[in-house]
Amino acid sequence: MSVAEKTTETAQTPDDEKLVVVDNLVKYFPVTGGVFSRVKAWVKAVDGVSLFIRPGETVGLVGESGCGKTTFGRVLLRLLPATSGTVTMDGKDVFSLGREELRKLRREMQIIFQDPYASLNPRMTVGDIIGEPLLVHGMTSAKEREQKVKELLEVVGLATYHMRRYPHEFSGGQRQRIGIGRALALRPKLIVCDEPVSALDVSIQSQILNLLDDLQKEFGLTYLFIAHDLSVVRHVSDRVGVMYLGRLVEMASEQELYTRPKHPYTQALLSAVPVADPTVRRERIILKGDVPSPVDPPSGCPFHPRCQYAEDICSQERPEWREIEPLHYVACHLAK
Amino acid sequence: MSSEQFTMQSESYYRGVVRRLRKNTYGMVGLGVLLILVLVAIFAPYIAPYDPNLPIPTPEGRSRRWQPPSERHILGTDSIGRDVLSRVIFASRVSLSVGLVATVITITIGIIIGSLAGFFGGWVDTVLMRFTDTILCFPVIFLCIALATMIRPSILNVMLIIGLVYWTRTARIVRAEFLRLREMEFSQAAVALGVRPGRIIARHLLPNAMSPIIVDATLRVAYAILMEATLSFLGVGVQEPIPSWGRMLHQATSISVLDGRAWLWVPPGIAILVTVLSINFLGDALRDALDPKLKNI
Repeated sequence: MSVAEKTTETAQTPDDEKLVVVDNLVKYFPVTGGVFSRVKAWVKAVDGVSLFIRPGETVGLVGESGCGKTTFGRVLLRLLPATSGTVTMDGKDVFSLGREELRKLRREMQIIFQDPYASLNPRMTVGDIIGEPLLVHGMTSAKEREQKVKELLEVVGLATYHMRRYPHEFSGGQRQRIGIGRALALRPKLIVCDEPVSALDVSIQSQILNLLDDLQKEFGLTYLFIAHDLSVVRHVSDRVGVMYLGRLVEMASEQELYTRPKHPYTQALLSAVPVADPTVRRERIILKGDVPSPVDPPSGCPFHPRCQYAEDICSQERPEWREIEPLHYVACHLAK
Repeated sequence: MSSEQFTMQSESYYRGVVRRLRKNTYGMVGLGVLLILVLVAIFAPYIAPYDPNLPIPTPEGRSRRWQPPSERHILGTDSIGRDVLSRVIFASRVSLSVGLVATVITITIGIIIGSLAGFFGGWVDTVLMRFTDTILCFPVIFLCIALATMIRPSILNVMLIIGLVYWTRTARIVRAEFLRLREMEFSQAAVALGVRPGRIIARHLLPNAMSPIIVDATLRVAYAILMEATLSFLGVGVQEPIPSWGRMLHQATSISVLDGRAWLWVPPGIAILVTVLSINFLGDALRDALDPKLKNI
């Protein structure tokens, strides 16, 4: 496999200062067909992603739809089985844990979903939804649970009397608050936010983002923030990774990435962000063609068919994941 | 936050279902007819004018066979002089209890097999579903007759046979629902929270799969009643002298009866028709009422 020759270059930050270390994570989905459901091909949803997350920081992950960022989040939490690679959470190898150990580790890592309508069980009251993680992790006293649920509702900006209501009685923003309360119930260290605001109105988006920000300060949370909205990601993230066709193409601090992008794909993405000033004339990079299919990604650098700077080497060799400046990683042969 | 402006009256899910059901005329008619039938079955000994299993002789001791409807016998008498009305009334007990018990068996087996296959997938799914397909390959009627000839015919066995043959469709429905629900974000959330599989099935998947299951169950009741009638009609179901609608039709299968003695087969036929029709009305109405998207209708 072509991904094997890549290694992480995360050595600059000592491992005990990292909450999560992802090394060469790969997730392929089989495409089956024919009479006997033979595997015809593989969708390379995540194809060798390595990164680390430090405690208390927010790492943003951006990319077009279908680039594998959601799959990455799910595999990271072992909601989907990985094809290969490792994830270390708080020193524990997530993929090698047994069933009960994994259940214990789930207290440390939670997820907030994109669709506030699909992520809450319509047949459970809000109190049951937020109380369930407490119950299944051993808080059997109904009184204690109710107390805790009320606290959580207040923390996320809802009223305690909401606990007897059903999800369909709430608006999108309120539902997202319920989802956040549920994720928060176990006091996790890491929360994967999988496009938590993209289904919401812009005015509600900022409320939820501010809430996430407050909670991070209050509880010392670490976020992996997955989104496709570049300005949202910039607003919340300390460091940002850019994904293209299942691979990370660039990762740097928010300031660095947005002001001095090295990868042509990042440059093109950023040039597409609208500016709220009609007098500003900007150089727009218009990409040619469509995103290739992840079933059959281009050889070498997956971006080369659309890259205006592409040279021969780009179609032949897969670019190395290099740290070209401190904490600025890029996978491009030509970036300097 | 807009929680202060939150004024919508809170309504529990099942209250909404009842409210929507009450607005459906056909559904309410079906429910009403069914309630009457159930009451008739329960109070049969008080309603029926005669003993259903004994010939009613004339005061002089002569047989009163094949009497057409009259004041004394509203629906006439059968070939050995039993009162047809009393038999139709008592037969409702057999038909309704077979319908109910067979459906409970059907739904229970269907839920267990369907949810295991749908939740665990993989080889569990393959094994269970191929087994289901195998049973589906046989025409239901032949399976029932084959089973019925192997074991002693009795009401209980008829219930068991129907239950053991009809669960395949329910299992497929449950499995399909589970496949859909398992991918929804709330079940993903439950997995992420460390909820164990048994609880995910019981609390997250099954409650959300209930509407198609309930609708299917009402239709199953109608099928079971028809199948009991079929088996009894073919002589492998409920045995003499216990009356069942199917048996009464069976006893009326001769040209002379069909031609000249309509009171022997029209009443049980109408009873089956009315029961099955009202259950189907109720099932249709339930399907609509259980859909929360029709909230404001």
